[in-house]
Amino acid sequence: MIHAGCLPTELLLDRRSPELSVSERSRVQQHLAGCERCRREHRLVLALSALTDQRIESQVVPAAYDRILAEARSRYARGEASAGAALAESRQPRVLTFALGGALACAAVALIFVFAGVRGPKPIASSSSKTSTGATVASQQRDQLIHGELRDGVEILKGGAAIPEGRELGPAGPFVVELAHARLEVAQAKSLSWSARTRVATLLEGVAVVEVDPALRRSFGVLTANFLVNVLGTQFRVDQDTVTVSRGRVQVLARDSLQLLAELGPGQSFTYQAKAAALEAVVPESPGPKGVEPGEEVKGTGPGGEVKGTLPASELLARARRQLSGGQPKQARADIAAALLVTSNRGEQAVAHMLIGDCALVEGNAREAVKKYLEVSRRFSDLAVAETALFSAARIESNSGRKPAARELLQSYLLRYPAGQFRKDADERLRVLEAP
Amino acid sequence: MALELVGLARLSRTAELNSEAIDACRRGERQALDDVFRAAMPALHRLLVRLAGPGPDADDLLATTLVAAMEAFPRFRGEASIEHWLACIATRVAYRHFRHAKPRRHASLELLREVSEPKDEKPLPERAAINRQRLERAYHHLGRIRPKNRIAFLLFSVEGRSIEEIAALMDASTMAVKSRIFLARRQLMTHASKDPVLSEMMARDIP
Repeated sequence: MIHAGCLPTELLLDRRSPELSVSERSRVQQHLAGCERCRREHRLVLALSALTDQRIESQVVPAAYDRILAEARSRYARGEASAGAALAESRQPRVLTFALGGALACAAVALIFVFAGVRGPKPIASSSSKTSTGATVASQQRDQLIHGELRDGVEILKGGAAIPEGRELGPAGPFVVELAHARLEVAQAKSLSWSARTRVATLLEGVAVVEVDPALRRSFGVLTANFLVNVLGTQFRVDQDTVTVSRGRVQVLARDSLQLLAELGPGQSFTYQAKAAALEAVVPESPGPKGVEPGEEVKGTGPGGEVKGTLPASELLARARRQLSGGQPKQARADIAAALLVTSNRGEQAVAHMLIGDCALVEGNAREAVKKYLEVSRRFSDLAVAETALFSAARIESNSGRKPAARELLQSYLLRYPAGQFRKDADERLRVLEAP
Repeated sequence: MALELVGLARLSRTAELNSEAIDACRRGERQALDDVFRAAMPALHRLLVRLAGPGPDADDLLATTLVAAMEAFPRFRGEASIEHWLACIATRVAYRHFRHAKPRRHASLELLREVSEPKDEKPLPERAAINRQRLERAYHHLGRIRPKNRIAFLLFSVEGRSIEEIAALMDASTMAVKSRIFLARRQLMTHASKDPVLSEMMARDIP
């Protein structure tokens, strides 16, 4: 702490020492020799700097940059950019900000009066909906059936009818719909469901030709049983296994992990091969966006899944949990994948990843489960679920008889959660492991 | 360090000498963006690790920085260097993250090895463990300081930037930056004095 008689802040920092003049350096040294408080602070800053530099050497791994760049591209394509665009803008001068704020406030007050006087109370039902990027669009007006028939339970929707959100609709034949800023011509589909919030249409079976208006620069997604096709403005054909692009660019993402599988340009197509567990991209001769290398591991959930992605993530996760306790890990995985697709909540994401670990455990793949639990404990280390994840991994290793790994994990657990809820169990297991 | 310098040199070459590349970035051409980002990532990553501390947050923040930069590139005026512009974005990304993040209740587990990884039978050196604990405690206390003050302090004392640079990065006056650093240091000292691990460290030079 700087107190009366101490040197200016800048002079006390080691990093500045090479830049100091001889007399200034001498002043610093003399002061530090005589002032215990400044010496303690100087040591703290010095140590913090040195320890952080040590840490950086082990944490900054250039090999991770490809993954981070791919993740950034994927997030940009999903439309997260507009939320972060303000980060790159300089702040306006305060006077201008206040002036603009004042003007906006006046305008808002005036509008409130005008609306209250002319239109009366606002109706409860609104035609607008909130998008994933926070922008409000009047999407309901455009979510309509243009041609053909759709079954909504016992009700039959005909041309001009509004498409309800979050409902599983059964087509009676080919149909055409307009959803947000996209037009879909669908043939032989088993069902269609629509989420206006995430702007994702879920299509079970069938073929669709999709045309997305590029003018709005908003993302639109088509989720099949195998993958998610994410676009900004384009025309493409999609069925459960193949995407063929006519115009613009599309991204194909793995259904559960949202890992980028391929980015396609005009004339390119992507084929998902579930049985061979391999992906193949058919790329034309002209140079274009990167295709997918043959033999790449498929992380999709496989065909035949139920239509997901339109229920809230919490419900999907609850259903996945029920399916898991009923011994149906495959169905649970599909629900978890759908939940991961619709949620941006870290807590729900953590639970979803925990459940993936549980699925692996039910499927008899303990190694995979341990890996997943450890991933959760690292990625979500600030959440309570991390404790359960770490202990679950330790317990599996302990039960499997892999003593060194179990010992290490149990010690880590006790170190990190000295008053944790599984402390007694961990202590007991560790004692057994360390017994001769 | 050498990698960082190479990265910055490449970046400067791309940024200053090749205006075509910048124009391509403004048009959103993938290859040009990749080149600029790849050159800038080591320096940005170091900056974010210093600001966010040990843990997985720095990777997320780096990705968020790149997303914001992709979106904003068409509006990049070229008045500042690209590295400065990207550092500004990274600083704001970190600031927003700190403002909305809940304080961590536990230390990070980043040193926990994958079970499938080859095991090193030798125990970790005691000193490394102690230093790790000290660093975690220090960032734990830093997490209790107001984000603006914390960032100014870290940029100054850990990242080694000048007051003027920090003022430009944080869009603040030099006086504001100085007072933020002062307040952060005072608060950190208050917390650290009550922490047995850090008190012990402050009592003598670290090995």
